[in-house]
Amino acid sequence: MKMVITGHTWGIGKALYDSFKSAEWEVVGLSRSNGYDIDADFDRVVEAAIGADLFINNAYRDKQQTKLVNALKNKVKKMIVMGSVSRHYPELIHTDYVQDKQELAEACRLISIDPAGIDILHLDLSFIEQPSSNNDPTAFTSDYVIKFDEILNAVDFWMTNPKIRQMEFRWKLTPFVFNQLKAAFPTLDPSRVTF
Amino acid sequence: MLKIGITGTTRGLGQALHDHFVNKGHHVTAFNRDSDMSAAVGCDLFINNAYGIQMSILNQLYASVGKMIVMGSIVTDFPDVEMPDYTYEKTKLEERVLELNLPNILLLKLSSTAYNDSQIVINAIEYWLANPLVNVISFRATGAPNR
Repeated sequence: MKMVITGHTWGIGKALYDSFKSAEWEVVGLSRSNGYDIDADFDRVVEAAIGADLFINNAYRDKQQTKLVNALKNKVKKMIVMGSVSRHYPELIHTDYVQDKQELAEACRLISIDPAGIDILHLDLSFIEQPSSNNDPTAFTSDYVIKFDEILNAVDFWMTNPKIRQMEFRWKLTPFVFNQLKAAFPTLDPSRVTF
Repeated sequence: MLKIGITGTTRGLGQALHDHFVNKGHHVTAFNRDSDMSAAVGCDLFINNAYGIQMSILNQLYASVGKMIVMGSIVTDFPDVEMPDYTYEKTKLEERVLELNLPNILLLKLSSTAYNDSQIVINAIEYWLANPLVNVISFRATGAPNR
């Protein structure tokens, strides 16, 4: 079985890459570091993913994740798509990122209701734990983080229950983010935010 | 041992979940539309399953049980489908859960495949109990759901 993943050198991408590798899958990682930039090298990324049993659409850059969903929706057997819970709060978080993740989720939903669509696991993620080697002072901080294992368990759930072809998991926003939002938007209705 | 309440245990998925948790050694109480719901106050887990009384139970109990699982449906992912009563009720229920946005409620959106395979639903519930930072688990259909 062959798995292809974008953004495999760091964070949850690396954890997934290592996990499938240790389960004796043939794994192919595509990252800027080995010459597969999902923007500049888009066509080559698509080419490398065609025919995979599983494609993990992990790396984020602008509209590229959605473009990959559409380019590969009938060229791989299954796909895991890393989305963001922030897409549920577009009126609170006005960024291109949120809009991109909304478009990504809609592309997944359309495939999930298409009788000919491939199997898709769509994850609305919140803050994910950082590698201990991460010294980036600009990295997000948070009250809690999703542990890699929690995401690996969700993936495992979907992989081991193949009758459920289409699935979506949605994580909660954190209290830290909630408080940041409240500071930025004093009129925020707390019932709109999960924490 | 958990104190678990559940509705809709006379058949189907509710019955399977009831039997599963009894066999696991939990203290399980079945409720129906005529029950005094005050007896459910203080449950560690309430499975809000039976269609028709879900909204009223959600509103009565969300603040007085440890955790609640609300059985939603993937029919709400099909906005173009005309709205028969079932879809309408499930849409209202989902909107209410998302509006409440409480950390102890799981919205479990079932497809017909999941509905007919209680083991998959049990696995999803166990996943959530072990990974409580998730608050929506949605099974989805391929193609339009049966109506």
